[in-house]
Amino acid sequence: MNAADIPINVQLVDLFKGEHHGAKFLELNPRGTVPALSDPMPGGETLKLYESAAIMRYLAAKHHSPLYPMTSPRHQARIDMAIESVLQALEPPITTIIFNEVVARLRRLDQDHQAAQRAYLELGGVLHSIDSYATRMHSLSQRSHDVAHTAGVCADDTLRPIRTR
Amino acid sequence: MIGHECSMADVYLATYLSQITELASLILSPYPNVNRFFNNMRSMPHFQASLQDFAPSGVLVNVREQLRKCTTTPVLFDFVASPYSRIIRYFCKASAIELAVTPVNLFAGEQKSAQFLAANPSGKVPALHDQDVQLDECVAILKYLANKYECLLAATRLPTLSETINAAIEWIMAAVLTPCT
Repeated sequence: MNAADIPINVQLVDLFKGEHHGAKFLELNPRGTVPALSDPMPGGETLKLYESAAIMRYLAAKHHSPLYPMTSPRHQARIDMAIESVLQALEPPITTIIFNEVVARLRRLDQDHQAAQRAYLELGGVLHSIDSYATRMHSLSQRSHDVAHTAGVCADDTLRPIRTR
Repeated sequence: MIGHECSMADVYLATYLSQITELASLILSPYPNVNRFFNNMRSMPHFQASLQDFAPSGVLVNVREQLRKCTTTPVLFDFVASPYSRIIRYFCKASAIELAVTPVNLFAGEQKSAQFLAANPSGKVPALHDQDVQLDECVAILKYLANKYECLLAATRLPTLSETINAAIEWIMAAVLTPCT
């Protein structure tokens, strides 16, 4: 939102206090997940959205954000591909690490150190594959956003063998 | 991420990376391209602003503080003239690890006293107690502390780097410390 200059009213939901299970929040998002967005429509209706990618795409379309231009389907598809590859490759290990090292410790639940260690290895593999691909794409490596570009480019063939290894 | 302009995909990747570097112990320096990308993104005013939105509410600071409270203070039995003791003290100082230190005067034979042996049957110094963990080998203590506090100095989360560090520790122990002692 900051990057796209979209005005937004942020309501903090304290997950540690269980505010996402509160009746008020469940009315907005019955699944009780953050982030969620409520956007009053001109007709008096309110649009309720959850899932971060859906929220971003909606806001980008509504505010004509240059971060997700609606002008070229080809360009948009490549951004989508990159987002999906980031989500699929990075989210599982990062979720495991954050759960075991942050949430479990705070909540005094059992930490699965082996799972965390495996997740670190998996994440390291993904980052390494993105990184070495960016190095190989010599011409790209001079630019500031090339790594994320690479993550999108190598989504299909480079990330998969590493993850299944 | 796509083309030369910053896109929504860049925001996604940078946000994931910031989560794992802020709260957990992953360091990006072994991945120079990823590291450069992340630093570029982080230096952008709007990305900084989105992180600072959390500062007033203190969410990040709060979580970090609570994490620190979850850990107990280990007790180190050491002797100031022992190089092995000093390695551990130095490591803890450099890694900002809080220790409760109990000095044991080896020259006065305190390591053989009934009181010390009751706590540390092996009679070795340095020794470390942390709740139900009891350790009495310098390298074992270092590795335990590095793991517990996820120290950057030991880089336990990065297998290749930690192997190199381990090899260097073994070499120093064998080639330098033994003759010194």
